Amino acid sequence: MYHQPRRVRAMENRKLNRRDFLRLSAAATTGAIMVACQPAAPAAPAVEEKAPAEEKEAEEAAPKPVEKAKIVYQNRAVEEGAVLARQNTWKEAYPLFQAKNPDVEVEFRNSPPEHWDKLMASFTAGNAPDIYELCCTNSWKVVEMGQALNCQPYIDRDLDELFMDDYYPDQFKPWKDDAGDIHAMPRDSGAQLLYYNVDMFEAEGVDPLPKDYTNNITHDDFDEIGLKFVRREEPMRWATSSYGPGAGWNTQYHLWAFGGSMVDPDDKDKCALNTEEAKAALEWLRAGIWDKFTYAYGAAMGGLGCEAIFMGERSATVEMGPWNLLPWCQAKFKWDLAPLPDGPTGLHTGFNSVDCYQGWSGSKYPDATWEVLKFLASEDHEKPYSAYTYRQPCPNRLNEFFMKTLREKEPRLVEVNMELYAKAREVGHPEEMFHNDAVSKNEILGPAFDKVNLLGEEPVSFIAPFCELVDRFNAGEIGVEDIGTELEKLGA
Amino acid sequence: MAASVQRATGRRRVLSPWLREALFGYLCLIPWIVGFLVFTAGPMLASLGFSLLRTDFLRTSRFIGLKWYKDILFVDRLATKALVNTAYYTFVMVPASTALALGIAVLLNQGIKLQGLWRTIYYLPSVVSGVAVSLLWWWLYQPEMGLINSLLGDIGIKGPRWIYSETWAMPSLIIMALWGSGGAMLIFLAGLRGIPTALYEAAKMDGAGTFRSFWNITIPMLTPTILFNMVMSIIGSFQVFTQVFILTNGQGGPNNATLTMALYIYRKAFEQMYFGYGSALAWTLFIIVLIFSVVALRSSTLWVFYAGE
Repeated sequence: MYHQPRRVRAMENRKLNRRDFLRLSAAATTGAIMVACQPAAPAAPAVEEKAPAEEKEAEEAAPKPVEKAKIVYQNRAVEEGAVLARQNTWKEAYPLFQAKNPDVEVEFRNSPPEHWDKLMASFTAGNAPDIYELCCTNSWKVVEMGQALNCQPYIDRDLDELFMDDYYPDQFKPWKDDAGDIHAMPRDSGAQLLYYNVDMFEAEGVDPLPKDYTNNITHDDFDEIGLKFVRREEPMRWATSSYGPGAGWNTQYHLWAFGGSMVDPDDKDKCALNTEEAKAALEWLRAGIWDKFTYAYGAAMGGLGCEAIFMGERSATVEMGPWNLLPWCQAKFKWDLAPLPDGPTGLHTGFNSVDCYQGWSGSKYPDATWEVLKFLASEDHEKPYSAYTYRQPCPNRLNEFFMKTLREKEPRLVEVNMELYAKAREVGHPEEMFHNDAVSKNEILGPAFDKVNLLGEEPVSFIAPFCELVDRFNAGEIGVEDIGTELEKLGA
Repeated sequence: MAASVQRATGRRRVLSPWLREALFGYLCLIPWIVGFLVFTAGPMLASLGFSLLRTDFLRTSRFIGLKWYKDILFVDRLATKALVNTAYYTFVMVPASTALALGIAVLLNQGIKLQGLWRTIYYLPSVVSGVAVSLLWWWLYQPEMGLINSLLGDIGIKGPRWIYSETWAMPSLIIMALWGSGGAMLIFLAGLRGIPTALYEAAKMDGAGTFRSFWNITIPMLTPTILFNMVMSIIGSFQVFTQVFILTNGQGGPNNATLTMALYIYRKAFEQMYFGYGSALAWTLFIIVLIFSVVALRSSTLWVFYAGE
């Protein structure tokens, strides 16, 4: 028989055995979690109780302690250079804010890794930064979730300070809820243009592209020009490329040029890709990728691809915005800017990027949050922001400043048609968003666009039933769990 | 002074030395236990609760019982696709990476010159960040301009479209992952060093050749290492995310050909805000990984040889 050592027996006889200890630890931890998760004590009522008359005089005589509103502002820069640019911007701009708002203290925070995931977690936990930066579909998503501060009452109140007419017409469209209330302030808005390799055009004997929208080329003209640059043998060459004409903004500006759209302009629940105009635009893209080989897709897909193939002189043009002009100044060839091609009917159009500052609706200091938001979108902040980040500021009155500053920093830009950024923004639009944008674009339309544009296996008509599926999903006819089955039925 | 010493030595001890030692041990364990309960077990249990809800945490929260689990198993064909893709990745990746890592380790264990340098070269990809590796391979895989197709073209082979082909996208991911087999290789190398040379000498005296020695000595003696690498590889493969996310721009494309379970969980929870569904998917994946890990560990009694037993 196994004989237990005395020490082990003694241990077992003690009250505090291992199991008890684990129980105790678990109980203690649970208690700690419960205490930590307990809602904070209700804040003191905003309206102060009136002091008795006799105390009032004495109170007025004594200096009042000013409670500073503490605002956390979290930027979205990730790369080292961008982080530095943002820090320099804040260093320069913050004293101007402090001078006007001594009762508001702002903590400037750099973006954590996995910015979006952590923002979601902080909304849920109730400790989100008062102000954060977002782009594109995510900024709209937060509006839909009800987490973005409604700026409309503040905008209405401070209209005189805001110069709302000094933005391009659709500037605030992506952040308007169904009632038309604005839920963000613009950070920068880059206008998409056609960047082209002047040396390559000269070498091929092709006339330079138009300098503005007067006598602009159409999509058909662009095909004709583009074919002169296409090479199917090594080293391969294309006429143009972009971040990828999938189910998103890179396709939308082509749709607009043809008079179509991706989202029904009157109903965010509905997909508009079934119109003849939209189909014509989609066919232009498909044919460019697979029949004429003017449009590089596979080679350019993903963040850096299209920039790299343009810089590597593998494409004559690239559809691009002024999102960071610094690397473009290192190009080994002369390049210039031209408008995006018009539609068949001569419709001028373009895309303007959707970057914003958003306030959190759960902020403890909504008024102070608004003051910071207002400052961030103001000239005092936009100027250094634009100068350090090389990005196109939103107010139109800063267009001249943007050009001048960048040209001073990068003399090479003097010979670039930068005036076009301002003109392009006037004819451009921001990204169209669906209700349930991520499901509609990525999960439902994404596979259809892959089949047509990326894989080249299906005609444009393949997209139509997927468009109807978006309508059915947004109407609540099918659940998110049914999408896979429906996609399979459609051949995706 | 003398009186105080007397008081100190005369004090009755409340705790015995053994109990004090045990308490000290538990005290040392507390940071880990608390960390585990708060940061691992707690969130896991919470996610189990969330998986029974239809919730985005912010607007709606409704108890729906096991509906998400039923949907994952019987309704959602995308979940099925994600599971099949993940299983494909795992069942090709695990044996292939194990064999490759073992092969390299055996070669490096032959007493070649500059062994340290070779070891470093093979191990290097394992320490490079997943994002950097993915971006590098993204360029290599470019169908028109990538280095791989360019080299294939030089020998008269028209390369596939790699990550832009439904057929080749998953093999592309696997090939890329194999490049990072250096971690397992290093563990195999340590295992190989632990095999007593006397066994090989005895086998040689008995007339065993190289292959015979490898099959009858090296492999059996390495089975505990193989088991460890296999289990770790199974767990890692089922959770594959970063490579797919970077290579496919977060889409799992083309046409969901590389949609893995981890990416689908991310898509549902953080892109589409179906946190309940995301939690249910996470638990489904957890159970699958658990089953495979348990099967691998239980089967070890049949094929793993421990020298001490």
